[in-house]
Amino acid sequence: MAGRTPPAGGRVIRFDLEIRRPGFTVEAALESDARVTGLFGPSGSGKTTVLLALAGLLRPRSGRIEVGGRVLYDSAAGVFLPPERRRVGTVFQDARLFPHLDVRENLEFGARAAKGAGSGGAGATLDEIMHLLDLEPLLARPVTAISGGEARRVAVGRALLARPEILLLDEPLTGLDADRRRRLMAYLLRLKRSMDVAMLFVSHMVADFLTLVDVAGVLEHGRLVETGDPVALLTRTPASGTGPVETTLRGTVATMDTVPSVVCGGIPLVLHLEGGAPGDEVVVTVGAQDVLLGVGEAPRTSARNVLRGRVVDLHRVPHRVLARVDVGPVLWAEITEDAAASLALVPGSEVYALIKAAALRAEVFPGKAER
Amino acid sequence: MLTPVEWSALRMSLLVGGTALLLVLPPGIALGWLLARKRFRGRLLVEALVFLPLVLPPVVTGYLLLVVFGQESWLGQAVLRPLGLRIAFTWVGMALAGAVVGLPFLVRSVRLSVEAVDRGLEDAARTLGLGPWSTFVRVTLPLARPGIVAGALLAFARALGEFGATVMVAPNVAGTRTLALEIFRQASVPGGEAAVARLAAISVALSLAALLGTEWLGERRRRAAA
Repeated sequence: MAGRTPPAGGRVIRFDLEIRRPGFTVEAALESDARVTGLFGPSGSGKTTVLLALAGLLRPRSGRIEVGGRVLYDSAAGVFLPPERRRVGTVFQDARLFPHLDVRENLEFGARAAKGAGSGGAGATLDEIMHLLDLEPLLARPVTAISGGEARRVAVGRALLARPEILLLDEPLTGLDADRRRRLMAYLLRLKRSMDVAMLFVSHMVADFLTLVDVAGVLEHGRLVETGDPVALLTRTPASGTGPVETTLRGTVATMDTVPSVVCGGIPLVLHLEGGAPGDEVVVTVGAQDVLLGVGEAPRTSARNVLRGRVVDLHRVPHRVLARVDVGPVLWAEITEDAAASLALVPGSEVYALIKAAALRAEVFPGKAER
Repeated sequence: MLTPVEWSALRMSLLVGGTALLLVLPPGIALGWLLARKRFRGRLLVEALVFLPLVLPPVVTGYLLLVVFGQESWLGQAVLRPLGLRIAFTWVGMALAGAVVGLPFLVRSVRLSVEAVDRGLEDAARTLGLGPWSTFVRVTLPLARPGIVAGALLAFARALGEFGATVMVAPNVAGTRTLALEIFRQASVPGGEAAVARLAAISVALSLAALLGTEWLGERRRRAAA
């Protein structure tokens, strides 16, 4: 699996919940030992409801929640820990910084209460958090004088300083412009690498999801329908009809020499990169229309990426065929019905996937802070 | 500048008003929060009782206080007498009367300002490890503070000028009269007009100061919110 981070010190999160809200029922069960677990689903699918239940801000009708071996909720045993005793850090979509306090006071807010709470969880100091999230320049500012992206960064730091066992992130990137989104994502990736805390990330954006999440649960109409590898889950079917079909891959920058390349799922890809250094995390996207398929000998072409693989399956859509090709990671390729017929493609056919360097779009998330 | 009687009346007014404020703050904040945040059985009754002194003739309020706190009442017989305490016809009784008539003003203001505090912020505080009480003290209270202070000032001003309820429970001896009581006494004495005018002027100045304080705080809050 591409870029999979080792489990977070055996901190297993396990829940099985039934939540009733007026006119809405959520049923969700999930077990994960991943560093970042994700809940994916369109808005209104019940993601935030599950998150509120995990945080203890909403009482499910029945079920059980366990984090790192601690039972936070168990309807059968009559256990319902209040939010302040759960050690579940929550970063709300609207940050919810305290307006009567400045940035530093907001950061220290939870740290004070956590002091007596023993060790475990993210035991980072204010200095470490400040450094990790580059919060120093903001410290003395009133929270009304910082941007939306900065506010969410402060909210992340504030939650971490309360020493949670798990950090819940509710659509932390939604509503930010592309540049701010990318920067905040870079911070979240840093966090994932360097902090001993499990994260539960809630999002409806495929790209964000694939960038950060190791184990995914997919919610539809209040039901958690599937759990598993995010790339497999979210690229298995053409993204619900709308927009072009794309493949998103997670990897790291291999070299920035004259021919920049990245490694995704064990295979090297040649592409155009602006900025970035070897070791930086990268998310590569390629449209299904930009992937050519060939059979027979490895052809000599101008395409810089010639990847050997096997057809997994074929999906017929009007006038064209979408093929999933396993080249290490699985790619979507869109070809005409005619092409599929003349190449005699069937599941299992050996093929070459050809991708021009220019057809691979890359987003680099620097390991070091950029200003 | 002021005569000894005037000094005494001013001092008594401030003592009674100040004590009334201290007495009314804890229940006022608690009731304001309760009405803003909780749905419970008997909520309407609590609300009606709190706001009753606003519509009741103050003399009736005073009478009811005597019924509850008088030496012959249940409370007087069971608690006050055995302990050698006395509320009716003392300055403490006057302060209590002021507190009761000031309560609706404080509760109303606290309730409005607590309702304006984003509950999401209280939730956030809970997830950061604060219990309900710490959350109230460190988030709700500071954010509602301008409204609480304004309500407290109004309640203080109301208690300061209280007459009807106070006169029922006041000892009515020299040195225990507030400005309002002293004005009433002087007005019933032939030739007291000049004294009444002076006392009235002191009263106006005092109440005006309290009201200006309230307005100033409201203005500051509006500016902070903008």
